[in-house]
Amino acid sequence: MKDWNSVDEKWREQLSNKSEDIPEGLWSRLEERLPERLEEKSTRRFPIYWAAAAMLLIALGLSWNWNAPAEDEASELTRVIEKTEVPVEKIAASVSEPLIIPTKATKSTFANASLQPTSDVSDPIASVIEESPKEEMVTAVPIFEKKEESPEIVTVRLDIDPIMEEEEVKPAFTQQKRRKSLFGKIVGEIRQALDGEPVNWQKLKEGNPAFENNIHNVANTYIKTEENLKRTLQIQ
Amino acid sequence: MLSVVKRYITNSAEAEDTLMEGFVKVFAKLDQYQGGGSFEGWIRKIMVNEALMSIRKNKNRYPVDIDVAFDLAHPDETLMQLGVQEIESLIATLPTGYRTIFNLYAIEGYSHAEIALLLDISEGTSKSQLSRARAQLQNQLTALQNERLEFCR
Repeated sequence: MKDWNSVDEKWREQLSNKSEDIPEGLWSRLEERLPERLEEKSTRRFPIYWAAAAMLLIALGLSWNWNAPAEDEASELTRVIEKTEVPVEKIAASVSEPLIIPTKATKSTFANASLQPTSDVSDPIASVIEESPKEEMVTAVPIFEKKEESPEIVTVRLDIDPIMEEEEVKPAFTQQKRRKSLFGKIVGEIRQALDGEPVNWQKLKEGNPAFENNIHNVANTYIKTEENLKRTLQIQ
Repeated sequence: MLSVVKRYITNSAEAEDTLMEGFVKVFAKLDQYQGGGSFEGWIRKIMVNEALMSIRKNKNRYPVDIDVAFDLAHPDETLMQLGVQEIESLIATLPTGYRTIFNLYAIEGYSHAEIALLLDISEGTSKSQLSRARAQLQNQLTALQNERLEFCR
């Protein structure tokens, strides 16, 4: 008595010997379609999601790279103010609402402007203080303007009437608070170095053992990246 | 190769399309052929895969049976005496799921484990589908014989 395996074998043998003629025109159709299909397949080798992921990484890298230093580094910011002779009208234009400096004061520079309170009512800064008694100390936070033509970030902090208690100060524009990171600090120091000012690298290294050995590498990489970006985007 | 594809896809136009897609793959992957087996066997494998993909595209499912395989004790002697044409016609009468598994197991020589991987089903389902396919083939043959007998009378 036969079993199913013998039937399978018999059928397999019979069918494997069978050949069927290819319908007319099939080869010519194949010849026509083959080049375009092969091209299609070769272009699909780099999947679109890889391209999307690469774009995302580049975008993230750029945004991180352009990150500015933390705003609450008072000493650093004060230093910037002292060493930068920025016309008052430029500062006034960039500071948001709570601090309104009339055009009367435009002739003075930031360096020689008196920030001490005075009894003179005609003094524009004093009048501002009088108008908003709850905000005796107004802090103008960073002008983090990212301009393509000038990648330099000018960070300004205005301390008007520093005698008053800091706890009471709640400037409206502190929403612009930036992430304080080691990278931000490094960027700030690098910018300072690019401006030709001395930088205390040792101070930056302190407390950051991870960067103690390679901080110079990081700095060099950043400078190179910035130069490359400038060259690529043709930023002056 | 057309006859291989036609055993899986009964519709001639569909079978031709599948054959063409199969040949496109053969040419595109020609550099991947390492000469391990016969070239014909390599092409045949591509054609079978292409046919399975086509079935999956159109139906995307195989009837899932209980994982219990029953076996027909003995096949009818007549099955051994069928010609190629009759075998093909008989296989073509099977539903897609049964036909696919019968072709893969009985004609191509795949194991149940391989079929389970290929079709994303369990081995038990593959076994039960094969048993049902065999039962249906035998029933079809019996019905055919009865028809002939009726015709002769």
